[in-house]
Amino acid sequence: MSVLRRIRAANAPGPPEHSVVLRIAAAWTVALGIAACAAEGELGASTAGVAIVALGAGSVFSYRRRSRPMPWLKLVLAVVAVVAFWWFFFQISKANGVTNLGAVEGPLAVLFTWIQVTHAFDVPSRRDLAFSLAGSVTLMAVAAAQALDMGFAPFVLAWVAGMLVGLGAMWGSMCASRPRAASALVGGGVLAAVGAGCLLVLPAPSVSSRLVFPSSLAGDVSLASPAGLEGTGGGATLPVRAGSPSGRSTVGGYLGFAGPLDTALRGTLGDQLVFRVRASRPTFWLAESFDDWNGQSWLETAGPGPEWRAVPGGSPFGLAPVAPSASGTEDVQTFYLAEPGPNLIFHAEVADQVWFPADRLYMDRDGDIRSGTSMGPGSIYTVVSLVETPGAAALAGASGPGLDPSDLARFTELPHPYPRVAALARRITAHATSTEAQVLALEAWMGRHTRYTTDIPPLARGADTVEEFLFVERRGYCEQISTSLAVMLRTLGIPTREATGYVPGQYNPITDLYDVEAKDAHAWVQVWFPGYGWQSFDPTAQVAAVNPSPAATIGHEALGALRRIPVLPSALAAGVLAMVAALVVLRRRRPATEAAALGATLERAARRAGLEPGGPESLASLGVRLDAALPPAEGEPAASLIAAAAEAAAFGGRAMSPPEAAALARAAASVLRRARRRRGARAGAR
Amino acid sequence: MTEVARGAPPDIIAAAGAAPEQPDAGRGGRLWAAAALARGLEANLTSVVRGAPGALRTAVVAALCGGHLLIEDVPGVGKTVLARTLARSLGAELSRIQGHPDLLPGDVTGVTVYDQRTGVWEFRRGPVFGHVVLLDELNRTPPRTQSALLESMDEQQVTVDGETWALPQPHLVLATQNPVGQLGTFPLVESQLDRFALSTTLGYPDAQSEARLALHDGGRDAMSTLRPVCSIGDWAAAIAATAEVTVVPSIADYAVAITRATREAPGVRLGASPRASIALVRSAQAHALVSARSFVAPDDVAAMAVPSLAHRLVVDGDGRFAASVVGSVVSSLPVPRP
Amino acid sequence: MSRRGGGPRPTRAGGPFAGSVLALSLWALVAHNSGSGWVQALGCLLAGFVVVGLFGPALAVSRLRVTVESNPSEGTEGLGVRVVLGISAPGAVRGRPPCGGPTVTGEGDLELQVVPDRRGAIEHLELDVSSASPFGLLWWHKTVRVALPRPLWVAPTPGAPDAAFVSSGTPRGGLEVARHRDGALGEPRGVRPYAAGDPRRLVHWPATAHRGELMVREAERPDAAVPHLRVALLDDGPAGDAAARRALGTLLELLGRSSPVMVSTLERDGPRTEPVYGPADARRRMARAVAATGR
Repeated sequence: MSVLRRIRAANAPGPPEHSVVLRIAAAWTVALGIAACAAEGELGASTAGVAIVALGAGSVFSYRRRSRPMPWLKLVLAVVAVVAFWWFFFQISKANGVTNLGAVEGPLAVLFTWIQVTHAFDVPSRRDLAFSLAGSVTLMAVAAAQALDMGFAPFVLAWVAGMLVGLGAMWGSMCASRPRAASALVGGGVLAAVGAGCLLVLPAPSVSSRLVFPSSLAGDVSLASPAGLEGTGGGATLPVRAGSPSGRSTVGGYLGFAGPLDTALRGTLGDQLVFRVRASRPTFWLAESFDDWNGQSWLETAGPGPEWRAVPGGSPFGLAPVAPSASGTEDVQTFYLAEPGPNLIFHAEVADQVWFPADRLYMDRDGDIRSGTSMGPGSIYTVVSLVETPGAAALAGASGPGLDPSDLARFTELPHPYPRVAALARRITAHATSTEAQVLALEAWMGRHTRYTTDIPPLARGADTVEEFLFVERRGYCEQISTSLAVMLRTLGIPTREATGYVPGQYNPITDLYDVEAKDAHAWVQVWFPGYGWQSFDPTAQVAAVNPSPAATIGHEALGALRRIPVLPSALAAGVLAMVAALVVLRRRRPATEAAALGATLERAARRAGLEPGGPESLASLGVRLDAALPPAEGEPAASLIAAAAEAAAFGGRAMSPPEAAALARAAASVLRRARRRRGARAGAR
Repeated sequence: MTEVARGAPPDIIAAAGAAPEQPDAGRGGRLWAAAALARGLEANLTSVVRGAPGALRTAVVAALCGGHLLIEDVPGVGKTVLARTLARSLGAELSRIQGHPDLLPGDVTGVTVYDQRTGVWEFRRGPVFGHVVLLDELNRTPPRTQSALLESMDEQQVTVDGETWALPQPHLVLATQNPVGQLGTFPLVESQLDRFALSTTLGYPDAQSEARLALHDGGRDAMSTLRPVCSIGDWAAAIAATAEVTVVPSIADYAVAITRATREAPGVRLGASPRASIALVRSAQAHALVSARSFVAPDDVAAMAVPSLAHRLVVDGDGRFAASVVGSVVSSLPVPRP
Repeated sequence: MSRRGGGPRPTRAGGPFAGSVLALSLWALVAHNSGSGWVQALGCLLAGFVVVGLFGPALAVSRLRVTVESNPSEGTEGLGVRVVLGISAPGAVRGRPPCGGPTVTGEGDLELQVVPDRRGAIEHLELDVSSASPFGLLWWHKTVRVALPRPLWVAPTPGAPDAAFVSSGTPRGGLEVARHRDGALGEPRGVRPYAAGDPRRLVHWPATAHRGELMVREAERPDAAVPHLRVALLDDGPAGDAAARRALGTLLELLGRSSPVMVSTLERDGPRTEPVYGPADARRRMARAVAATGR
């Protein structure tokens, strides 16, 4: 019985809430949550539109009926809620088991939306409105889980504003007072400070392998030749041609994602966003590796078997990596495509598992991965890599089984002997004892003696890229630089290959994503170390080692911004500003009239004389007290007369003549001196 | 060092526009004449009434600002002598009304009588038709007479049997009141007290003054030798000149602040009205003239706060408490400084 | 004036605190492991809401100032009296024993009902002041001791009459007001404001109309024999209160038969022997009476 009564008490409608501001804020936050879900693609536009209209209608309805709650409505709403839940579980089960968080999030957003919309029809009391405010948090969270860029920020700001107004109105309604803008602003300020503080203190989010990873395809079309590179007509047979800035394999103008890497071509890199990566640490996002150098282009050597083999199974695809050790740290990367890209699966070395929602995935013997379908913007795939990051000492002492002889030949082969290059490489690495030291020495030499530029003339027909770069131009970009390093290493007999892909890109601490742009396309060198496999060396740039926390990122950027500030002009400007401010302050502190100045002087004298001049007392009376405390000697001016003159000027509506003002100012100064003197005399007597 | 700083008090009125030798030149001259009148009046009063300089100054202020004065005190401390001296000094005759429970309105304002010889109704003016009227023991008169009197004070006219008679100008009423709560008194209503611009008490004189009074028959012989300091016309001119004393906005704000503060002071059931603010500024102007200044200084306002406000307050205790309330208000408010 | 009676404390904070910590921890766990930066950023903002909502009221309460603007001067034990409070910011106020009462919320001037639970003078109120500013998520409260602008005299409830208090005879000192009952009016002396307990027939209507408040005639008359109630309280505790109740009962009984009744009590300022004319006066006297020992 008591349980029943308790349930009834809990369900009893509270007192009707009359605050329109609170109701508008509650509807606003929920509507924003729905709009945010729609903007992040969780809800269809029509669904969101209908939901928002229904929400508004429900809010108006429940406001009008707030004093006459309808018990049967609760029952109807409960039935609707049950139906919504049933639909949700049906959707999930239809999706053939939970393979992917994305598959749940869509129905979840729909479920939350309809629960909020039905709830909006029955919000008579303050408690119900508080539930609406809290419910909007879940909608925002669902939307935030899908938000990839700063375009989500306006939603968050508008939602926070709605929450602030709503909670402020709730408190105002609780204590029957007008909501106060000032306290809401202070609350918002503290809130922003706490939020920013938490954001800075918390470590960057990282993807856990215990979750199910997102993958989805958008705009996918099966390719004619299953493992062929989309847009190049297939395989390594592409003729040398000038690059065009668009096309699937030349995203943003980079020509390195074709079958061959032609170093004679000159592309122009744009700055459009290619894809975003959520990853635990920044690494090179590897697309292709090349083993065969012909003096102008890097190519893939045709092997004895089929070049591309289909990876068995479905998503997630287990790749059985070709690396000697599968023991590196796990690195999960999720790629969110923003542009139509080549059908290359970007990954950090060495890919172990790929979550890709297609039937087939292809891989060649060097570990490059291609999909059998094209990928449009909005495609998502996740790669789990095992990353081996040995230190310099570990690499120096690397030992283990080497490459098998055929591979060793492939990775040290040169089209012609390069005698000058070999001589140069030997001279540079004369003092290096290990492979790693040799690589570093060559890198250092190139850093000293070559210059980076993308503005170099096209390579003359028949010329060798490396000879041209090392002995003629000494200028070039990543392709020339990395190719030269690779060739120099090969002349020393070190197994080396050329890799293309992207550098990590800009890290955004809010979205926790690396924004990779077209100009982040890159080519670099990979060197084989026994026991550790292919290790990347970038003679062009250095790469940060670990995922920075938001604080480190923001601090770094702030420091960078500070460094860019020109010191001298800023100091000058600050000095001028300070002077102006000082002038303004002095002007403000200077008494407005001569009379006020006289009054201030007398007050100072009174303070010196030990009188309390701050009380409720007129200047005339203060003057009399001053004269009593410091009797003027013969010929000395009386403070009371000065005070009377000051009052006459201030209250008599009569301006002082300049000689009169000057004489009075002198007289007041003499009273002040008298006060100082007497005080000194008193102190001396004591 | 200039003259100002060295010694002689700066004669501000002289500085304000006119030299003392040319008393009739412009505003400065008018102010000068009024200040001289005030000084003469004060000297006359001091020679007769001894031991109450504050009350005398308040009386002079009342004469200058054309407001009525309420003197609250026990009998026998010289209220009547003060009134008589003031009247004579101003060149006027004193008309005196002695309050008692049987006093009727007609006894004060006058009555219309039928003249059998001429066969017309003729208005016989009552004692209220005087330049200086002394209402002795006002609170012993019944309320009906009180209100008739006080309305004539306020409107400067008397209406009898539908005919209106203007009172002579200037018209100064000095009313005395026995302390509230004494036997056989009809207390005055607040709205009537509000018609008095100023109030004061004489208090018992000190021993020395009292001995001198006893010796000189209560100052009666001094009174006999008293000379008027001005004519009625001069007095009217002085009242007009008082209004010309400069009041800058900060001083007016100070006066209003004092008045308003009495409304929130603890122990006050009813604070001073806006009419009180007007009276305070007006009396402060007169006080400035008495102090030989052509402008109102904060001290003028502070000095006139108790006389012009205390009698208007309705407080929990008696009149003395009202005065202390006003005093504490004045001493707690910030004073405008140059 | 209000005085701090201890710092602000949260009201029933366990649930909100534990719930917030749990929810935020869970959120942080999910956000961190899902690797979604926006979820984490949203969680940080939520943490901001929680911090402001849970700890903002502490600041608000500590800054809250409560004064008693006005209070009646008389009350009766066990019956509510209304006092007007001034509260510097929105909040809720409740009286605490010995003057408990229901909670009122609002800002500015608030009317608070307090129920004094015993007889005597009340010069301070213990108030429980609380606020949930700015978000209304959690209430914090503090106890303040606020001085009343004037003492509240709480009369006892009338108890059973007790003849032991009464003696007949004429006390020393004149009787202030004539007894009108026998029609013998003394020498008229003037008028004075009405005091509680004055007979209606003494009201002087012309003076009342003139003055705007009730005025009564005063007269002088030779002394008459009146009943005399002598009240001596044992202590200022429960025994004294019980005696005061009985004395009040006795006094009201006597007043029902004849008025006035001469009453001797001991007050804080000293012994007081004065006639009592009516029930209001009687309550007032019994409220002010103190024991000889407990002064």
